[in-house]
Amino acid sequence: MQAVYHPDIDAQRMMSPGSDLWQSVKRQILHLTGTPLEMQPSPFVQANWKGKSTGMVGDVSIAAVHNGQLLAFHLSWLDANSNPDHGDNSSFPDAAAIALPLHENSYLGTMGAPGAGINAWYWRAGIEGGKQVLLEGPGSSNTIEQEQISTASVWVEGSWSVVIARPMQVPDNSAVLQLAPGMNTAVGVAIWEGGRGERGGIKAYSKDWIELMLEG
Amino acid sequence: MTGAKRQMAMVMDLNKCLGCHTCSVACKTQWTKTQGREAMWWNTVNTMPGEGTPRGWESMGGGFHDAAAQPGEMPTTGGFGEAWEFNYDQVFSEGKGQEEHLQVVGDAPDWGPNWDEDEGAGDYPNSYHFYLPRLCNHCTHPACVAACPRKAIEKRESDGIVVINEERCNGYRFCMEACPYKKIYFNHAKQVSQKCIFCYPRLEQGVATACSRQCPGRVRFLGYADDEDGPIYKLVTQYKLAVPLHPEYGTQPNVFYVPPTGPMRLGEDGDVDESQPRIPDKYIEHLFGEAGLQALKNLEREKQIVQGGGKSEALDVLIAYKWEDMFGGFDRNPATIKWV
Repeated sequence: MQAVYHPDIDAQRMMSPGSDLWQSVKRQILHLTGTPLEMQPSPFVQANWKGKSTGMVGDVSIAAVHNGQLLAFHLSWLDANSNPDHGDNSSFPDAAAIALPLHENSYLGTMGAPGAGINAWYWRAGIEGGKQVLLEGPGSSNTIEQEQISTASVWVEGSWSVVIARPMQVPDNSAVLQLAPGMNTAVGVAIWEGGRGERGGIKAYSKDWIELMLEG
Repeated sequence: MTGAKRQMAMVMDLNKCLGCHTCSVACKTQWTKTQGREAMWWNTVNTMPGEGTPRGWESMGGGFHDAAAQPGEMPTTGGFGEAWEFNYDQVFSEGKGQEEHLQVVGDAPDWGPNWDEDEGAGDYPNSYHFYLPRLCNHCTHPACVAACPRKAIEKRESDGIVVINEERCNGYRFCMEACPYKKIYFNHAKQVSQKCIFCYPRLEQGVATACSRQCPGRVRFLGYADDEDGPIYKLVTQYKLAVPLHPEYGTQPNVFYVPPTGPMRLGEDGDVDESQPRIPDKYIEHLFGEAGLQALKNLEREKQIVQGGGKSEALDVLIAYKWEDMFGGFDRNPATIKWV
């Protein structure tokens, strides 16, 4: 997919999930699948979820725009119920993440590995802002920082629209990916259907990287 | 899974518990006063038989068998009981104390952490109840530790206390499903799971846990399980008067109970009927397994020794002539410590 270069579009418009910008830009449908139970780092989680469906969100529509400074991803998916919080403990907030490889051989299927990590941008319903996470294998996620990610979301008539954005260049940090117009990298997506108890490794994700070209 | 070089433990003598909740209030005052912890009671006291808190916790699954944490239900905020709002201002500071009584504001609650207090079971004149204080059992095989995919829960090597690392916790609550005692809460403000920490900052300074120190009934004994001069070793290992709750859950709790003997049963003629206990053996066995019945026999044996004019070290420990003897050396006055 391509992150379209719109040098004149300001951040406010990019951060509006319902804006005409996101109606007009080219979108791609990614098919998501439930994370295999064998990959869950806790045998308890494997046993507790055996025979249950995971990865409730089957498809996500994705688009990306940058203005040379800020890169924004727009995700849209069907979800009959909005789950903005933890309810009575029996549900979890809906959530989504954008994954970017830190190395050529960062493998999305395992959520990265030590020395071959993944930089994830994370949104969770009900929380303003987002966070950057370093993934180096199942159960390993570490929050790197919580200042650089901007998020905006709206749930209307059974559908989430979420924007997750970050400045392309950020203060030097080996655990995050530096971006620039003209660059080629890859992207992955994960969605958690909180109303069905999805959290942690229980989620829907794009199994393989999608090529991502940042238009120059 | 143990991983601990030594294990701190607690014994509670249920024959002494008067259900005053001082332990729960001491804990609440010490640890769970802040936002997000309003409905959190790391220590609870429930009337048994009863549904307890969270409601029906004994049938919610979880546990540790075959070297693995077992599936269980998620305890809900409603099951634990929400923190009720009261009309304090109206009654105490707005001059309506003579007209309005203290009451819950808003929808009438239908459950709480001590909802079935003093109900018990049985029929007159042989109805029965007793109080069961509960906290995290700091298990030898903690299902919570095994269930967490983020390794956010640690069993401390130095004292076996099980603690949640809130920096690692992502609020997934697998621990709450796996814990068969359902003594882990979720802090909705901080979005992390929280539970009893066995007052480790106090213990590290030689001070007993708040629930133990404040207990007016001298119910709670404290100390390292392997301290042969301490009360835990004597009551659990040497004299076998104290046993874990629901040992069949498989987690090997480190909180032990001296089971309740209950009052004498009355026969139809109104006289004492010694042929059977008032609290049914079946119920003691349900809570404590066969070891619970054996503990009661052991207790009776010690009583017989004293009634025969002999001396029982076990009963002396239970009587607790000096409160300092109850805490295995953790008897420092907290007022002598400058807390930071």
